[in-house]
Amino acid sequence: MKNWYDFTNLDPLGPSYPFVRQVIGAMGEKIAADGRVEVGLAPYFFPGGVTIDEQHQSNVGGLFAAGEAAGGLHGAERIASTAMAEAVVFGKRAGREAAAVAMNRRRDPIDGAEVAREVERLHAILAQEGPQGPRAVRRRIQAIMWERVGFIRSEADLLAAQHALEEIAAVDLGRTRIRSKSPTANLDWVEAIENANLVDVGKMLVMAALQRRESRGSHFREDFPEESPTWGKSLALYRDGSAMRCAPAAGGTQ
Amino acid sequence: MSGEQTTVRLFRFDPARDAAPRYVDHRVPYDEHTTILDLLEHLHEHDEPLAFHRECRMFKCGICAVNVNGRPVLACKERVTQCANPAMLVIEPLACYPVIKDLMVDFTVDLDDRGHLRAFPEGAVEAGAAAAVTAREADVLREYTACIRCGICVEACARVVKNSQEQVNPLHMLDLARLALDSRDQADRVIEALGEGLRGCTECRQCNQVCPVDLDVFELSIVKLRTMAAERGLA
Repeated sequence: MKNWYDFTNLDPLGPSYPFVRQVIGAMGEKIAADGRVEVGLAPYFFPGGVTIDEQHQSNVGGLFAAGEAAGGLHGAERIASTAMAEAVVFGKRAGREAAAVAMNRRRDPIDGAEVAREVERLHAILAQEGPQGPRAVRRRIQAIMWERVGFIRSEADLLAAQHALEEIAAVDLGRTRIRSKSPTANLDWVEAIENANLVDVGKMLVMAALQRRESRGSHFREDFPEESPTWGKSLALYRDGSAMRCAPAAGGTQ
Repeated sequence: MSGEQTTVRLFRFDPARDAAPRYVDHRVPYDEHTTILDLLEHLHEHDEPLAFHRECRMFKCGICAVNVNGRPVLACKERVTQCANPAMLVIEPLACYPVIKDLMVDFTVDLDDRGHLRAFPEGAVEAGAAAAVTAREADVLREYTACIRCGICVEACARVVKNSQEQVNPLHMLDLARLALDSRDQADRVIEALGEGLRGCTECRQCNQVCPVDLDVFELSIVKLRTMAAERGLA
């Protein structure tokens, strides 16, 4: 299957297109006479992020989030070319709030035992041996998410993805081979640490997509293709002990 | 990747372990679309693990600069077929930053160094001038935002100006020129630029030759600052 981007009539929109043309040129591609250029599809954005209050603070004391790291601004679908405005407007507000908090509060004491546990976790990853490297595991995570959690979703696909991600978490993450044992600039190590995070994020996406039995914005369920009036609300994912949970967010509709 | 093969002569160096850098040759397939970054990813996966910087892969983030056959390029943008000698590619780290490992250099040197420049509109908040930028001024300043701070002009410049007394850092000059043109900034950036070696520029324009985002670095930095200095009789 081939996908095409059509540049016809897009010039009036102006300033963002020189960059697109620059990329196409640098890649050695050409815009055809009919204005088309062949492109690949990729998921680029998910309208989710850290839950924050009106002061932009998360439920981790002193941790603030703004822009695309924070959830909720866009509702069910992102509006293109708003990332910079979002970062500038809400970054300024978050920065001001964070500065006020920093002025008036002592830093919480650092829990040495927690730091030691994290250092131990990371070094256990560095020491790992196994049948495959982090790149191979990464490709499997990507394939699962692309095939099962991509543009068109269904309960069967989402359950299959959930199962596959749990298997990677249980089997593969703990026996990913890290070729170099150097703690400096070790890309295998970084990739393996990121893989564990990606599996967590993947499981969060799957859990929320399973629960939302409707279609809305960028979330399309072929088994529930219609938008449902009862689903005009956000879902919040959180940790409960060692379990991941998903429930309608406080604050209700958006 | 299929078709032609190139020989990559790769710089390898772990300062914690090696007394000196070594070069290792590899045969790597390439085609018309293969970038230098593709070669590095290929070698990292199929050969020994390699340390190198990469993030956005679309020449926006500016982290992946390396030297190829002695020319500083952005690895994600430069295609093998664009190199002067595609059959033999000597890939080395930028020489103007300290090597962390292999091709990975320490850009924080530049950030630390930049600290003394205070490269933000100084005094803007106190003066309540944050909203004072006009649309026309913004158009002038916008030109500077195209810079991705990859360090390639710093690398090219450092080769030309061997005498450290005359060394100019193009990124610092871009910062100072931008701030000198920003009505919110209360500091005297022209005097600072003179202290940073504004007079030392030899006008070779290598910075423009190598810039991966085609910025007129020389005009935006040196010419702008020297003009402002001349207007004040400081040239």
